[in-house]
Amino acid sequence: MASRRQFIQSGLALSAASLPAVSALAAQAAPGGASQTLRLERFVVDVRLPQAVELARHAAIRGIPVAETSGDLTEIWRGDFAPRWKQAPMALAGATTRGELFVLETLANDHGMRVVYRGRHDGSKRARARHRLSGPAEVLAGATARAHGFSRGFSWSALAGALAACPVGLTPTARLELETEAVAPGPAGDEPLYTWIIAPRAALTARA
Amino acid sequence: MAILPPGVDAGRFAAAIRRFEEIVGPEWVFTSDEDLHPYRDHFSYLKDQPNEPIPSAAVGPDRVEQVQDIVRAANEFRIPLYAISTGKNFAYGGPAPNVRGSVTVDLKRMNRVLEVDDKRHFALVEPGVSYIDLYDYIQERGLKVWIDTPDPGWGSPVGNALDHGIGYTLGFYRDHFGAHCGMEVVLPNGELMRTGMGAMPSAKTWQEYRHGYGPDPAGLFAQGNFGIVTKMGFRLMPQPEHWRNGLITVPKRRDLIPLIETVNYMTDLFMIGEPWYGSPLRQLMGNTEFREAAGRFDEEEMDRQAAAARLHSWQVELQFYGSERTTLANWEYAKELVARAVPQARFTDGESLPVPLTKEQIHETTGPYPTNMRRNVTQGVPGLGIWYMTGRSEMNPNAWDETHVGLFSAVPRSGEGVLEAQQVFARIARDLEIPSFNNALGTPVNWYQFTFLMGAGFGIPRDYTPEGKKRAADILRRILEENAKHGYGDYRAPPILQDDVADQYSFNDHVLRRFHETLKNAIDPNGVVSPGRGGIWPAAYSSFRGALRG
Repeated sequence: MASRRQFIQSGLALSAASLPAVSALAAQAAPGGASQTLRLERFVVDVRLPQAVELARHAAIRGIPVAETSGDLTEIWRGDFAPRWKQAPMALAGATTRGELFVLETLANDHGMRVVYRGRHDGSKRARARHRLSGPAEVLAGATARAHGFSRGFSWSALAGALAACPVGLTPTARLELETEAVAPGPAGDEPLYTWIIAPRAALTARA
Repeated sequence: MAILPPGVDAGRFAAAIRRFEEIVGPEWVFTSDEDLHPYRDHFSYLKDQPNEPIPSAAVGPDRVEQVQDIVRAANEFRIPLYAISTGKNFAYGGPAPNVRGSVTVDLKRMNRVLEVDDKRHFALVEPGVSYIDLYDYIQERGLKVWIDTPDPGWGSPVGNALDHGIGYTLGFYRDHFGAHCGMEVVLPNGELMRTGMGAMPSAKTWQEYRHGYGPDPAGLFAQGNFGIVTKMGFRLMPQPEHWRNGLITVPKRRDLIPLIETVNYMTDLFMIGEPWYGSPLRQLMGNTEFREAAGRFDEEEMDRQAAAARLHSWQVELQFYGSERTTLANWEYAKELVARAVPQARFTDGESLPVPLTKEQIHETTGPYPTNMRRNVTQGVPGLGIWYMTGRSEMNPNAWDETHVGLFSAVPRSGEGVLEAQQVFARIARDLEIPSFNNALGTPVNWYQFTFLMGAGFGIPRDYTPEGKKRAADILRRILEENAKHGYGDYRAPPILQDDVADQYSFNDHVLRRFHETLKNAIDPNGVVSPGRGGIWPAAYSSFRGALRG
């Protein structure tokens, strides 16, 4: 079984540009991308959350395969992720509840991966929406720059674009808090939406 | 953030780390914040507080000889260790140690299924094997045994049993420590010991005769700190030919008493799997009139409103394992017994499935009545479904946010005992000014065959400031104290509450704890193995007792 430390080691090897590590990097990079971006192999969406569904729709437009859940991750984990992660880690993004992110983050930790971007989006019972993002500065900058092009100040499309453009490698991380007008679609209840990217350690250290 | 083990300076710690690296290889010694992040308890009220129990390092051995060397090195450098299996145990502390600055011994790499025998019905596994791993091992080989899995199934049979974890099939197997048979332990001086028949080098019955000869010390290694368990045997349930369930309801509030008495009879005859109690009246809790009657424990009024709503007051779901004919006969007998005790009882046939179950049957969700995620675990199929409860759902409209603590107390296994416990929990909630869910409708879990555990479902105020977290911790301690006044003892606790729980088991001036600590000091004079676990503090770390109280 692949181990967390093995991937840490492959990440270190990658910075020394060894051949196996380079090929691992190639597997993570977007095809033909001049600036290397993570190749997101799945977008996990909690279909109970309308905002998550909207974000997943934009992710699918960008060619990211969508994996649906409604709270219980057993089927996704047992049928899809676990067999793949035994072979190699992979990059994935999602829009879920905090509980689902916790489960996937815990499993990812055991398989040489970690959360590299995390966003919390609160909106119910408020006239305005609040977005708290942390992760690669390039992702946050991309989301913010794109958001400025929208009259409402934020859109799920813009965020999907920023996630799809998440760079490979250790980049400066940043935090961003953004309060905007309500974003359509709004949340179904008062539970915050979490958006996130999980990536292999090897990919993170690629540019270090 | 560099954390050192208590009383250890940077030079000695660095030397210890070098020794650990020699033992397991440098790639398996973790010291960075990022690498240690997974070893924190992310459900803890102490998260990010100055006294949060964070390890100083983690070390990942691959085999038992390395565990022995790690323990010897810990003695040499006076480094407290904290051993974990797969490190899940969430709501009960996760992978976090009792002493801030301990070195976590992460046994995940020791993940070999050493033996599964489907003729003699046992398994022998290492600590890093998860329930899902063991299930897959059995399924891939077509072996005719079932596992008894907790929910979620990502934890370790060894780790779960050693924390007195439970499952959902037949009573014997549900008690995971009770179903163990033989273990191998690295003692605090680095020696290797085997219990039961494992102590006889030529024995071929290690997983068949647990007692061996003489006193059996196996119990010391559960919720204790007398060694690091590196192998453990478990009795496995033979794969039944058939699985069946059925639902029983009784109309009136006081019918709970004969219902429980009858189900106890069936349980103790080893006739049924885990009985699962509940109340159909929960759907009335949104009704102000009913909720107020329930708040007053006005039984006559509750019965009146239940009858008006054409609802019964209590339900119990039963599981049966055997052949199609024997499961049917047992279900018919169960109906006969309950009808004798409560003539107005109603019965709903559940599912009746041949085993092995097909994938479609495992995922079937259209049974005669809702069973939620419990259905699969009663069939020995592991999953991650319980996390469904931590997010927003119809089961949990108030979504879990940051903290979650499992508190289940042992209460008398009778209807009278349950009805009294409901009132006790309600009083506690009222005194503490916190919400308590379904006070008058609370039902026990019968995870342990001969034990009722009740968790009342208290709502802790959502205040994640340091002051708010401290208030939440204080509330939990008050709950434990109030429970203990009524003789309700917690069965399991996270490190932040272990001293408080151990305090409640105080007969004869805490003689049990003094006995444990006398043993601990004798076999672990440097106190290096998991100091504080289970509220057992070796002399070397006695000043840490209560340190997690804030």
